[in-house]
Amino acid sequence: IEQLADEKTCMQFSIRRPKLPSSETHPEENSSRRLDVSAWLQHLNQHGQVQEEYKLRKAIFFGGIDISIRGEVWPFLLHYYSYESTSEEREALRLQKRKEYFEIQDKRLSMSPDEQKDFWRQVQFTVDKDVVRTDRSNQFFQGEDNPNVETMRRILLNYAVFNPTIGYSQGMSDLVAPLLAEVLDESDTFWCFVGLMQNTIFISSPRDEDMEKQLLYLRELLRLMHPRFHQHLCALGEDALQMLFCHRWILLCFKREFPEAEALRMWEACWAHYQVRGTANPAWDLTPQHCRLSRNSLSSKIAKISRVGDYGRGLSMQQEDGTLGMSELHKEVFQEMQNTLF
Amino acid sequence: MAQTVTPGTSPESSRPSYMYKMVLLGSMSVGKSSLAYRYVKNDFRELLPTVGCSFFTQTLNLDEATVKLEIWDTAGQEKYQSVCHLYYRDAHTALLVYDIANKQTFSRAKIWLEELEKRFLPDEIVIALVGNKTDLGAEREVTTEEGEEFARTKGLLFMETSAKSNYQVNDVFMAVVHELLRREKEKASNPSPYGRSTVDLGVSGARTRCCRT
Repeated sequence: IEQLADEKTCMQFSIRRPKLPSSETHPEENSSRRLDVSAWLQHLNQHGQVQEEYKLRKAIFFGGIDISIRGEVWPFLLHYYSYESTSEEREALRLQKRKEYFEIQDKRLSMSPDEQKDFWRQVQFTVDKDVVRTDRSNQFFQGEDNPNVETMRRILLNYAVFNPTIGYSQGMSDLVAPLLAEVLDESDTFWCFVGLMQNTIFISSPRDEDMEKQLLYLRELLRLMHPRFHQHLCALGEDALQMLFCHRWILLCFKREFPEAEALRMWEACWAHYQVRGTANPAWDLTPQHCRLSRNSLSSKIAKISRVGDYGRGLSMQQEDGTLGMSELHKEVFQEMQNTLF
Repeated sequence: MAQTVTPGTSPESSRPSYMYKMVLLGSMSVGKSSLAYRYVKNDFRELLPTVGCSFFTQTLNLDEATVKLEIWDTAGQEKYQSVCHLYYRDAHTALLVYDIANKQTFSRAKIWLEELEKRFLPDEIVIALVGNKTDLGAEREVTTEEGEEFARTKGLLFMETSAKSNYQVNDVFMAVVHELLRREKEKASNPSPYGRSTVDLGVSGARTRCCRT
């Protein structure tokens, strides 16, 4: 079966303005180069502790992380390692967490036949169908009987045992696959995934009202921030206003909307939580940052997407400058939404 | 038949233009996206699991009319199904897809039908039952007769397909389109007082849609 490259291209957002005038970029744009090995080591003291967490997060936000050290740095961003931990402490943590991970797995493997049946129906059936069709164009998961696919499968099954409330929802395989491909170790990936899940909308699943609520807020923000586009949606009718076309963007943090390299660059910038409060909600955490990235940092490219780009610009201006372009009324409403959401 | 379609005229002739919303429903991994992909792109490939909803469009220039199909391809996992009413609202047609090699997916299609019957009057929506994956004939769990019989008792269109080997995919979409057009004609000659416009007045009564060709 052919690769997805072609399929992806035609489904993805196109980047309309690869270069931006400096008047439109963040003042600190270009302040950081990509975090490579030597820059990374400079952030660490002799015990392996991150010296100034804020500086590191800022560097990652603007410059990104070199692919060669992603697997090492992501665990910090995903709350697996703490910034204050020493190298020794991290090694100890890894050992302890590995033990915990295999205990979770043992729990899964020692289910009673009835539990097993239930688990198969609720979780395993779907996971089995999904892992073999997730990121197969990524070299890491290519080919028949690729052991990495089996590892991804175990991580997802074990996660469902670890967090039975969430269990497995379609889309989660999309999130875990890039982690595994960078972090490589099964147990470490699992715990990074646990950290990631804390910051996704899946955490509020399986109740779909949450997604409906997100889309409602998105619609309200759009009405305030970008009334022209909102009017356009109104003219198209109720189906357009439901904003269901944004469902996947929110759920998977734009993973399928951009080429993988750029999507991951956005992910790690979002995880860096630079200048925004950490939220448990990607729609409001990722979207503005994502679009700000598109405007500024992301290889100086702008993803001026027909829809979300302009919306995000409004949002990101709001977040960066507090008041820019907002009437008092809008500010109030926005504040209220923030209070509701965060 | 639905009143939400506003006949327009295509530039080159006086043929009417219609826009129809079609929703693909069914269990996960029965081939909903693959059917849409085969129909729109005439290709088969490994597709990512659908998350939320994917959208396809297809414009057909037929002798009698220009038809634009707006295809809403939904996620199959049951967890997502409580948002599904958002997907099929105001749909003109639905494909209920099951996997002929998986009996459970056939039962699931029946449940989908009950769901649709609650939301639509029979003349408001054209429903086709689609048994996909005939290429897996050796593992078949649902016979053609079972599918046929169920469709007959419920007044559904029925066809077995294979998105993989391109068997009857185009046919099933065309059968649906012809049924939609047939009902359109019937409606024109015999206006029904029970159309959706009387049900949804106020919500979609003012909505006009026309085909951009």
